[in-house]
Amino acid sequence: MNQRWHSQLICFGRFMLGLVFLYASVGKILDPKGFAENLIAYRIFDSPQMLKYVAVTLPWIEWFCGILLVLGAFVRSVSSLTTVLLFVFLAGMVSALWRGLEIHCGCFGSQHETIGALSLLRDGFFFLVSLVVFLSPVDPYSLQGFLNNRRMRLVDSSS
Amino acid sequence: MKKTSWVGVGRALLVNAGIVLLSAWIGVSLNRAFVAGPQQSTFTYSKESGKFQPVKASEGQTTEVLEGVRLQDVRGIISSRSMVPVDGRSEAEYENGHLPGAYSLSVTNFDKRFPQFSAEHPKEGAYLIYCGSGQCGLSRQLAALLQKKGYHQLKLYSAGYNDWFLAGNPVEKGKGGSLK
Repeated sequence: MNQRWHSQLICFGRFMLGLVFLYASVGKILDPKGFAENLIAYRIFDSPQMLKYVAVTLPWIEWFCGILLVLGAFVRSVSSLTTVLLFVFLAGMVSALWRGLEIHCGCFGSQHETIGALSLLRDGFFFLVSLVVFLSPVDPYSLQGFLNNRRMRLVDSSS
Repeated sequence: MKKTSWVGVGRALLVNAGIVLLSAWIGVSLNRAFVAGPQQSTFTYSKESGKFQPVKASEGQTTEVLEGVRLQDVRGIISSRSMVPVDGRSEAEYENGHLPGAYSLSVTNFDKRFPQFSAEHPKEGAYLIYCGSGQCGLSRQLAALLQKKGYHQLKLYSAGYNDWFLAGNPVEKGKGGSLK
């Protein structure tokens, strides 16, 4: 019972994280220039060319992570990537606050959300969820879990 | 056991590298014009509607831009030094990067900074006003403030610093002449 409850919780976390990544990617995919302008405000990139590559690539990384997490495919690999991404986002926001920058976070595309405690808490929460999903066994409700179980049943029945 | 975990790490790296490469390929393919540049200014100020509106490529030079200038015009202005660029953003943003030769006249510190500006810049001069982007609004505010003070030869580069930077144009950093 406890194990089942744990699996359901992990499944919920994975699904929620996937939806958040999908939602976050769409606005940026539709408006890469707006996202690039958000990135300029962070004052991290000196090269405009590098910034443009990041602005057009990152949203698609988020989209792929989102769709794979929702489906439950390559869960460990993808959740390791989302954990790293969320850590980088968190570090970027902390660094901006540290330098006294009052800028839009650009977390969900062109929405004008200024970086503050709420953005940090939200990103920190998703970072923890991602870390838990990465460290936990793959839940049986995911595509990967379903295929694993099926393979094990086939092995059991053949032996 | 140890061997299995290394296989897992290798597979994770492979999957993640695949995601990054595929994303880069799709992102760059779909935004070839944006990535390759040079960039066109995407906003211009329309006096008729009083709003910033996207520049339509087909309109080109025939667009009636009474106050606004676009990237290609700004390049000419900067190289010929025919106008003095005036930056309406905060001093911190100015120090991080600004148009070559720009003067920092932050809207938030306008009253404090204007006496120095007016001492160095005559009202008869021509000035190019800009801020961060077409959405920042500071350039419009600065233009209005300067007009009240009797400066009338003003042009608005509404797409601003972001547009200039993204197009790969040279930028200057630091305090420049205006903040020293």
